[in-house]
Amino acid sequence: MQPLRQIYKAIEAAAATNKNKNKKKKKKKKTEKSTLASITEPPLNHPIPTDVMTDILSFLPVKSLLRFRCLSKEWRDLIEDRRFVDMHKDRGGSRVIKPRFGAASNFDTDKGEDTFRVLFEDDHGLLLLKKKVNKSYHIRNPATRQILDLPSPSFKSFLMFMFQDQYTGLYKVFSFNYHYRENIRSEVCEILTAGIDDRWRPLEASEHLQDFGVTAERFLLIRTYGAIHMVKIREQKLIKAVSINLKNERAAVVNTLPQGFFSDSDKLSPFNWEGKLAFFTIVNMELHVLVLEDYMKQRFGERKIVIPLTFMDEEELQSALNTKPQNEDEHQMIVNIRLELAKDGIVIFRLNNGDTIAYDYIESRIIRSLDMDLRYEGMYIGECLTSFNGMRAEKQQQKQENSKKPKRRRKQKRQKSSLKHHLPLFNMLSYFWL
Amino acid sequence: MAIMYALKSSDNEIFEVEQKVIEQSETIKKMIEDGAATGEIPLQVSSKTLAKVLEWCKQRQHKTVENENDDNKGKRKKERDEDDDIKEWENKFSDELKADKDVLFDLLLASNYLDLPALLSFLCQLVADMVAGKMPEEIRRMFNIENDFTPEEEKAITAEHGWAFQP
Repeated sequence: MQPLRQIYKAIEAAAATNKNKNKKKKKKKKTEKSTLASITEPPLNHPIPTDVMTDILSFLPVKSLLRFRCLSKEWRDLIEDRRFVDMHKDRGGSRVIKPRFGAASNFDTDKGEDTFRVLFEDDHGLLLLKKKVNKSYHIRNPATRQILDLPSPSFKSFLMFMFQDQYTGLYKVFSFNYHYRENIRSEVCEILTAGIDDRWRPLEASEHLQDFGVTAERFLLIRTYGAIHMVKIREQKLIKAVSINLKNERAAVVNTLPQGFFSDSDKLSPFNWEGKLAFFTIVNMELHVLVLEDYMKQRFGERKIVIPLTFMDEEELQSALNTKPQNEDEHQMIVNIRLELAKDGIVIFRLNNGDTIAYDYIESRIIRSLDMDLRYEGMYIGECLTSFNGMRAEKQQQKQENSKKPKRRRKQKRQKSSLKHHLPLFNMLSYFWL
Repeated sequence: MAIMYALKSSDNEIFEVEQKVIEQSETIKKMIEDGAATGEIPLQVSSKTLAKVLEWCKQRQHKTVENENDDNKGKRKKERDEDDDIKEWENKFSDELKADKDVLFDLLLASNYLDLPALLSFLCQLVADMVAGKMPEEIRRMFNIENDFTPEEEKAITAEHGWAFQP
């Protein structure tokens, strides 16, 4: 993993070049025309060290990399290496590629119609899809135009998401299913390792996850290094947090916070603090954070972290804390959560006016916007080279005729409304990315 | 009084530089910390390239003028305006480098050697943008890469993502 600061610098550099690109569009066309001439350009005098070359490649779009696989065996092996794929993903993920939910699905079909429903989209563009006709499940990487067909879960699935375990690099798909036995609803969570498992395995933690279903209250999903945490909060008090270790798939539950850290009137929110699940509240212009140091042993930090928020004025703080949801019903879950995360010693606040304040709490200073560019964080997704065993190329997309346009638009609209149920969850994910 | 250091390029030119500016290079920072930086610091970088490196480092050296009367918001606005200026400067910097590829690649190697992560990332992005649209044959030529695939192997690997070869 790249240190966050370096990635921000890379983002900044990318933004600068993009801006430049737009400005110089006309000029660029001219140079493109002279591509043939550049073949006669002399080769470079100095050999470029492999690590620098790898660095350069990590900034390339997926399409270029797929093309450069045929350069030589060394290049092919490098581009296919998992460490490179992950390095590129972290870089590529920070490049502004396209808005979330932009992946309206016209692919793998002869008719060019939407035949898939998007269940989940990760930060790097990987999609979990359900085919509308035969209800089959698939993982699609739109950047490489490849699809992995998944087996059907044992019961009717009402929620599906997917995360990469950073330790092993494996992608794990979670499906929350329900079934009725003698009129009693029962929920079971199943798990599948993409590209390895050919059937779903029941998750041993299922007993902790019984009441996380659609009929129960909604929950927040927080991702930390190597784990996911499903946190149920009611009236800003913790009800329960189930943590699942992505590597060994073990789970642990926290039902209450230890005594003496927060008062009864404190409004709590969970978030990702330096790769760990934490709870925060804001009292008298101070940020109070309690970190779950070891989720498996339910061990919390011995003392609260207290950060004075003197770098903000009260108005800004209110703006950072009170978001106006676009639609009260849909966004119930994300109300009052604007404090995004802390990583590498930096806390990030997003203001209502779209501004972001990044604060280095170790050196007690604001990070300049030059070194950070979080405007698109979570709102836009990147692309990745990730592929799984058993993936196939998707069918060629057919050119769409203009006459079909109105019909398609209607369909897209319908797809949007079908995403409704998942929207809050998506938003949470984007706020608590790692 | 700012502490100055003397850097000596590979063609024996001396550059007097402020410690704050040159400390952005992890390599030199370490030399200074280890007490190895006494007198002239010899570097395996040509004077032309070293001038470019220092141009970058000076620009990255934030020169915020603090105004006591500014509130938090005012300070941040000022910084944002400054950042826009820096971005504009970076655009000019990259345009110059694109025009002279020898300097660009010398600078790339120098930023690697001097351990200037921000400059290295900036340049890698620049090179990536330059080569992204190119065809394999052009890249092989540019970087002196030998094609060790048999024609059959190359055909097969090309066919796997045929669409990627279309503009």
